[in-house]
Amino acid sequence: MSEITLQMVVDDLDRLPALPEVIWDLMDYLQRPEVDVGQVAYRIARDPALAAKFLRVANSSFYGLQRQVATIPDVLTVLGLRAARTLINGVAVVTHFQTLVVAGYDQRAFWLHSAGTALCARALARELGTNMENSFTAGLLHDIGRLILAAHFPEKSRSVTTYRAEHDCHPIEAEQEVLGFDHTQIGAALALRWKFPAEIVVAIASHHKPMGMPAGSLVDQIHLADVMAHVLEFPGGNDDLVPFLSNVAWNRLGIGWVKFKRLLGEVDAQRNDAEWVLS
Amino acid sequence: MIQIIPLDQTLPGMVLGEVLMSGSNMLLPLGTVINTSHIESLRHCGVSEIAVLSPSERTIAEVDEQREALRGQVERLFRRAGSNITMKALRRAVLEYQLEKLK
Repeated sequence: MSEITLQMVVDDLDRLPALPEVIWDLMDYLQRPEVDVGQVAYRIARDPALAAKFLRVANSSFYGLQRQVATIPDVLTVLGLRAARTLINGVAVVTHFQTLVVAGYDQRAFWLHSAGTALCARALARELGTNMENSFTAGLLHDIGRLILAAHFPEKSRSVTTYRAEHDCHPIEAEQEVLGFDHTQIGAALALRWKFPAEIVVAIASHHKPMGMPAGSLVDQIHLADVMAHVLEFPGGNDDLVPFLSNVAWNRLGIGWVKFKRLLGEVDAQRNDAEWVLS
Repeated sequence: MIQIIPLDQTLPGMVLGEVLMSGSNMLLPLGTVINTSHIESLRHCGVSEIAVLSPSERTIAEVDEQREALRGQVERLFRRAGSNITMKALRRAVLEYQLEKLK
C-alpha cells in the first residue's frame, strides 16, 4: 500500500462534494449582525433535506419546547435566532456529510460520538457562560477528519483501525503511527476551507493537545467535552478508551469534580437527543 | 424488609420472606420464588396472606452485580490511563457518578 501524506489528504478535500450553494448562502447570511426571521426561513426552506431535519430536531426534546412546532418561521421564533443558528450550522454540515458513502466504517458510532460531544460542549459553554453555538458546532465536527479519511482513503483508515485493535491504543496514536499525521489536522484543514469561525478551526486542530493554548479558548471545552462523551459512552463499545485529559486544560476550566459530575448527569438525561443526528 | 400481603395481591416472582407453615406442616420454605401454581395451592390450603421480601431487598444482589459491572466498565474505559494524577481523579469522579446514579 502506498504512503499518503497530510498534503495529499488536504489536496483531496477538493473531491468532497461541495457544500451546496444554498447552505453556503444560509451560513453566510447567519454571520450578519442583524438577521431577519423571514429571510432565514426562506433560505432553510430552499433545501428540503435540511428543512426536514431542522424541524425534526427542533421538535425533539433537545430544545424542550412546550408544544410541537410545524413551520420553520415558528421554530425560529420559539427558539430564538441565536439558538436556531447553532442548530442550522450543525444540521447543515451533518446533512451534507451523510451523503458521503463510507463502506466498512461505523458511521453510526461516529455520529453518535459527534452528537454526544456536541451536547457536552453545549452544557460546558452554558456553565462557563461562553458562546453555545460555536461550542455545539465544534463538538459536532471535532473528529470530522476521521470521516474524511475513511471516505477518501478507506484502505489507510482500515490500517489505522487494525493497528489500534492490535495495540489496544488510543485511535490518535494509531493514526500517528500508521499515517504520520492525524484526524485533527485533516479536520482543521476542512474547517478552514469552509470558512468556519477561527475559534472552531483551532478547537478542531488542538482538541487533543490543548496545553499551549491561551486560557478561555474553545479548545479546552472541546477537549473536555470529548472526554465527557467517552465517559458517557457515546458511542460506547468494548474498545472505547477515555482520551487523555490534560491537567493544564482541566485547571484552566476551573470546573471542579462536583460540577463535572452534575454536568455528566445533565447530558446523560438528554442522551436520547443525540439520536437526531441519525434521523 | 418483610411485608405481609394478602394472597390475592401476591404475584409470581415474589420471594417468600419467612417459612410458610400450616399448623406444624411446612408448606413452603423461606426464600421460595412464588409461581402461579404456588398461589393456587396456597388458596386451596386456605392461606389468606403471606410474608414476602420487599422488592428493595430482593434486588440487593442485583445491585451488587450492577455495581461490579459499572466498576468493570469504568476500569475498561481507563485501561490505558496510566498513573497520571488528573486521570486518576477523573476515573474516581466517573466511578462516583456511575455509582450515585445507581442509587
